[in-house]
Amino acid sequence: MKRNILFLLELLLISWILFVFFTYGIALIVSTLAIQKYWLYRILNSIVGGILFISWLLIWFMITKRMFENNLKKFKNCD
Amino acid sequence: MDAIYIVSTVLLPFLSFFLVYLLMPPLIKFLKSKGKVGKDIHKQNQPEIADMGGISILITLTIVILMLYFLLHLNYYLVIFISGLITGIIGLLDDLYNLGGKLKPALTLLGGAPILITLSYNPHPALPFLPSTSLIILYPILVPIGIAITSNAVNMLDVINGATPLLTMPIFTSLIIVSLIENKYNAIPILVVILASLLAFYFYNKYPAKTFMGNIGDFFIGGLLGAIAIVFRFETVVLVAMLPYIMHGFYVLSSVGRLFERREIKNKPVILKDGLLYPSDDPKAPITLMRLILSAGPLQEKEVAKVFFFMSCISSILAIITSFLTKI
Repeated sequence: MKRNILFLLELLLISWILFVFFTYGIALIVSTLAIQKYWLYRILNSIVGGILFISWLLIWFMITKRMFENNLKKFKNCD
Repeated sequence: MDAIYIVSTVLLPFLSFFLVYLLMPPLIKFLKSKGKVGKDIHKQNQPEIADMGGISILITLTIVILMLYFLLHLNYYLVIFISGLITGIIGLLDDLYNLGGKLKPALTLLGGAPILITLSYNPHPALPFLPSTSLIILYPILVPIGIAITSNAVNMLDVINGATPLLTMPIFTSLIIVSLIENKYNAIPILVVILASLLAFYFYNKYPAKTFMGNIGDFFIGGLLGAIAIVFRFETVVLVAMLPYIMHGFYVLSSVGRLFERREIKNKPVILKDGLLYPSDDPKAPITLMRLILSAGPLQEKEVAKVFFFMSCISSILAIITSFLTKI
């Protein structure tokens, strides 16, 4: 059970760090939408915010999937 | 602090606890007599367990939250309760008629209606390193989405005995701590009564379970959690505290590639062998949080519950740390 907990702790911390930094970036861009005078700027900011959001999800998914696959490989070898 | 506030914060949680605790035995009998049972798939003999036990939490919290409202005259309580009730009713309909993997999440968007109609939200949420943001355009769109995410997330991860109480009790505890730190005393009475009802329910839902929460209970608790996050401005805290839920939902959706119903999954992510749960090595099986946990080694069901609880405690601690980051 120790191994499971350690693995989870690693996962949680990585997810939290990614969350804190990306949320900051996304919020900084998206929160300027209402104060932008021109619609073009609003649209551009929305696109940048959207790209940041998608890249956050992709990075998160790639990291955790790799961790999971490595674990599964180790587990199979032990078997 | 006035006397009524202290009485409601101290006495009503006891009422909440004992009501759920005393309601459960006759409710279990009643549900079994009506054939409302589900198979406990992580046991060797797959016994039939009373389903929809979450009805006791819904009945209790209806009584106790209405008492809180009449004692403290805070309209917020009513808004939060109605949001939870809407999602709870959708859960009940799903328990009875099986709404399907697409209609169910779509209907839970309705849970955001009371908050939007009464304008009980503030479109300036605090985020890490940003004490106040201006999400005037985006926030009203995010309100129903937030309620749908929390209610469905709680339901998705209710996969083992005791999962919902063990995963949500640390979240409600962290919200009580943050309320104390941020002087949001009005949030405490409602949080404490919900926590007390979950604790009482845990005695019947823990391994080996006498009852399951059912979609009614999961959706009700998830809806309340989402509404509390929005109304009391705990968005970031709830988001971080719910990291295990978000991780599970995200992995499952990205590995399956669409919205689906649990019953539709043919390639099981977890396999039961000699009383131990093993991760499936089938590449077509969805990546779930439990499969992820088990990839580090097989565990018994009660050990998985302990890991779930530990994980929720850690994410709740991270949520409290994040609430400090929003002040910088």
